[in-house]
Amino acid sequence: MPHSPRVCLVTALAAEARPVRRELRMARKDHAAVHRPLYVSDQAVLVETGIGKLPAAASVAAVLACYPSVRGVLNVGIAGGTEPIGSACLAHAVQDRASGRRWYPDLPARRITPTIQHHTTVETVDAPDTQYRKDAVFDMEAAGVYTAAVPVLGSAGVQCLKVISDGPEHSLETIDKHVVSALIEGQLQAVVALHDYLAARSEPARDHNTEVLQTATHIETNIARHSETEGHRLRLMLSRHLTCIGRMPTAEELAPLDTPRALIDWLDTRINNSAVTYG
Amino acid sequence: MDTIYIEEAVATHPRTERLLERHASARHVPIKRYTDLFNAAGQNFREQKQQPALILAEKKGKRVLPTPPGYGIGGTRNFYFAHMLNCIYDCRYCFLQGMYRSANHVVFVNFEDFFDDMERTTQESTEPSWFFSGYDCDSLALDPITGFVDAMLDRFDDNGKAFIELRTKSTQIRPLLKRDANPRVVVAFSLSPEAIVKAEEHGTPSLAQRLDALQRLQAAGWPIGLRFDPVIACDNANELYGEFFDQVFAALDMDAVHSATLGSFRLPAAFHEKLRRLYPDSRLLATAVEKRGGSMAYPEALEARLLDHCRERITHTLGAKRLFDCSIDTAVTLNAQAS
Repeated sequence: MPHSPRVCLVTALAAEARPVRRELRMARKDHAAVHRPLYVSDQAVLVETGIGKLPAAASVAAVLACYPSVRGVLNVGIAGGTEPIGSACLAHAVQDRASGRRWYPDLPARRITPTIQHHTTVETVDAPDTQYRKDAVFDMEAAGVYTAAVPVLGSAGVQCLKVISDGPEHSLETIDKHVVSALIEGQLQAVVALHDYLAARSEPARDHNTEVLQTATHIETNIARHSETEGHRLRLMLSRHLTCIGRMPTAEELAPLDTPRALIDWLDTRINNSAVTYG
Repeated sequence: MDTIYIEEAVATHPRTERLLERHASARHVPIKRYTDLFNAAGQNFREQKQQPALILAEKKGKRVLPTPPGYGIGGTRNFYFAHMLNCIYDCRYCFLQGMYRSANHVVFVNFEDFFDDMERTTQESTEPSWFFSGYDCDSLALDPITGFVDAMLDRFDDNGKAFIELRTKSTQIRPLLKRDANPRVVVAFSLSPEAIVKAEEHGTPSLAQRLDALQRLQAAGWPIGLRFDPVIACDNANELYGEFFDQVFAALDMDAVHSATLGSFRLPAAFHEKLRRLYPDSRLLATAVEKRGGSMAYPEALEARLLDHCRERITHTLGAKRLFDCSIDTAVTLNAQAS
């Protein structure tokens, strides 16, 4: 049975990934198209992207292409800021400092993440920054994750959780991989809550369209080749058929219809003859 | 409200401060301009609708717009305004789903600027001016949060030439009932048969609840309007709408009804396409429609049959003079102006 993860977890460092992998019981997996360390569980796939927004964008794009079942992406990592060390910050905005580009994730309800006390702008920088500010925390990947994932999953499907690792009182130099793992370990409850939230995300329109595409592909491969325009019309009619009749036409029903015109006419008649009643 | 975004320009507005104080436990997120968030790409309207955020912003530019010719309920100078964008309800036929990228609710807190513009507009002519609210939002549904109705009526008690229509499906009529009825304010309810309310108007008060609100408004002396729009085609339409009109006419004092409007299901073509992609599983949006002008509407013969039946029932009880048609072109022009 093919592996169909619902969530893609994204960390820059192995030290960030380690506690998450352990908590979610993830195992190493090699994938020819993803040239970064990859781990999987039943529900999730985790990629260690390396540092920086470009590696993050490239890795996320590769994972989303390899696993179309993914419905949500969660970027987990450390960040610099003025909040207390070890506190979890959920991004209400992600900004790429270099380009000024901004994303606004649709935040989950507060009851879903009761342990997260802070929400903030995550500003992605190209080099470590120690000019800490109250209105943002600094990281080096989030903007890359958003660049790759938002066009695929929308602003509700991509969340970013950062744990404060350095600030005005705690310099970057004091951090090593053990400290990083310990910081993430301290916020695993929030990570799991967001993982579960994204895993439960449903997209009825996407599921509907997947079913339509499967039948359209079957028609083109086995029944009748068609032009681009006919294909568009056919997909529209199949979608309406699914909605109005409650199911796709069967292979037996489609078999005698050997031209795109005949298929479209047949679908049109079926749809127009279907009953619409209220009450 | 779980998350409230606050535009920089209204961060210290007294109405913003009051609202944030009342929703102190919500996440308060500062933003520069509401459009950065509201118009951002990559939003999923359908998903956002499940848990919309509130955006507090300032309305700049034109706040009061003329309605297209032919749109009105008896007046000659007709205008509309939107102190809010989006609606708490989730009606499958609603064009707002096609017009906006975001399902978040925007409240423009600078109400006074709207009132100033309305007053200026009124003073431009000796003719009465009609102002329609409830086109880009439901006029009353969020009133417990915004307090718009009270603020507006306080101001418009003095403006003898201004007439207002508050269009709604909401039963939040307390601010109206606690003050004296104003003969220049028509509270207009969109009404549909209960089976259609249940199937297509998600999250709205039932027909019985709306009729109850209308009865209470009538008893308090408020002019009421009935908006039979959109009428939806179905195999049992005659029976469904027949029983529906019986129910509505029996519940209300029809002699005292200010006006009714009638229109069938139609959407600007681009919005219909967007909605169909958003809700491919919606039976209403999968129904056969055809392109007429800039709109997608029922085939002409079907539409005529449907509306004739309704028109006959309404005029029989209300008379023809108080019934107004909502034409296809009106919808298209209004949408074009709003966007």
